[in-house]
Amino acid sequence: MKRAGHWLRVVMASACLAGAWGAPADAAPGSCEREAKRAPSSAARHFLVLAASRDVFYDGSGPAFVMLMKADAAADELEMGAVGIYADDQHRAAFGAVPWRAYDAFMREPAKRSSNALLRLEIDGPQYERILDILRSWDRRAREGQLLYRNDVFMNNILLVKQATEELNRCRPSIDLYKLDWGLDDRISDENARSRVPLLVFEELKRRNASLHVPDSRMPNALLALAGSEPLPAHKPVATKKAAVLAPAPAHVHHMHEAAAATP
Amino acid sequence: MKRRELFTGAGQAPAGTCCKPGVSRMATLIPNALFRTQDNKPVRFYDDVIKGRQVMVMMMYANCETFCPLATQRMVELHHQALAPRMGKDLFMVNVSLKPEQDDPAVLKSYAQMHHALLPGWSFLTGDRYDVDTLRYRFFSHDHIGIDQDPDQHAGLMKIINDPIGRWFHADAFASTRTVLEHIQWSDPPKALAERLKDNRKLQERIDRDRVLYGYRKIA
Repeated sequence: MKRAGHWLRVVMASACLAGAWGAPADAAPGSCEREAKRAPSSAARHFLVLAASRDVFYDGSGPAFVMLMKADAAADELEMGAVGIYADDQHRAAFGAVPWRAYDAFMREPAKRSSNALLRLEIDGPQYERILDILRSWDRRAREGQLLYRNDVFMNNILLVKQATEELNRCRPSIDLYKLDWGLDDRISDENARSRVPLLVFEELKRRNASLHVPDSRMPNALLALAGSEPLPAHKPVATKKAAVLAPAPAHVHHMHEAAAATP
Repeated sequence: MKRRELFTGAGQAPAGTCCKPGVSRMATLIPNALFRTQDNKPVRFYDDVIKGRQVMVMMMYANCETFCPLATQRMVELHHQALAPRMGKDLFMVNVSLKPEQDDPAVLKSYAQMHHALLPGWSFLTGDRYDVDTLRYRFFSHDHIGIDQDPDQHAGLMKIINDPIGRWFHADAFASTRTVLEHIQWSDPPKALAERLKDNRKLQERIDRDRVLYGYRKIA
């Protein structure tokens, strides 16, 4: 019996060692390995909303943005926000974090013959965190005047849409993606103006993933009831050591062709 | 249930003008982000690396197996062939890591040592992913959603920036020595009138000599 106990301990120790050896060394924050180990939280529901409309700007295009919602029943709080193209006070296309009055119209599904497109997907916590990181980075770029494409807000928006939608499938296939890469098979980009690409991509994604769309009837009532109510201000982002060193940048909202003249 | 905004910048005031008085155009175009050199020294990209200088900027990453080692090797050759007298005096070279998560200062230093690139006026930088992407798109964007997403597409390209005269030029590190030197020369500060006249006189003498010898101007 004593001998059997000794062998059992040896076997268990070997198993532990093998487990530790086999564990991925690069389980960095946001990595798929770390996510796979994370225990799912049932208290919160997360949604990704791809929203766009047409016939708002002079060229027939309209606002198009990526919206995130997190309904936390335990905290009795709904966090939501959107980043992308919206119409500013003068009905010009502006890129950045979308004011709540602009994205509020997409809290509920549009009417069937509406010029709006909306795809609402329920996502898990890690997907939400990863897409939130992307949106925060774009929000920061817009505020600091550091957009990746200086001369064209629509290019930045296409890149944002590409990054956010591709992030859904990073760790496991979640949706049937449209390959937005300006390649030979990307007929939407090939045949349409840049300003209309996000809207058409959202419509195509909705067509491909109709079964994944969450209709109003399956949304929490408490969440839909919040449409029209002014949100509380955002939590201040945690200041990193590096951010504290950097000088504050001027507030900035980017408009179409604003910086074209500044390129050498 | 309460509702809370996710982003701090939502619906901010419209943009001001892009160019502030007293600030050079280069300073508005080039981010002044914090980077670290191969010696782990913190530097501001505009203030410490670009301001008042003529600088060649390239992007690479240490475990790159295609363009980066070749481009670095090419620049080492160019350094020894033609640039050595100017490097560190009125001409500088900076390599920025495309994969800052992997390339810390120590990794960059060993990369530079491996390629014999620890030369005067040449530094290797790493920083935050946000700032690296800003630089990458600002200097080397192809204005193509698919291509720009791939950092490998931006390795081996070179931007030659001359801050005092507010000019930048694009060059390919794999071009001939003469072409790269020409691009560097284009970004040199303009010469004084007397010097330009002297150069023109020399050129005219060469053309005249070619005409006598060959009957036409020989293209060198």
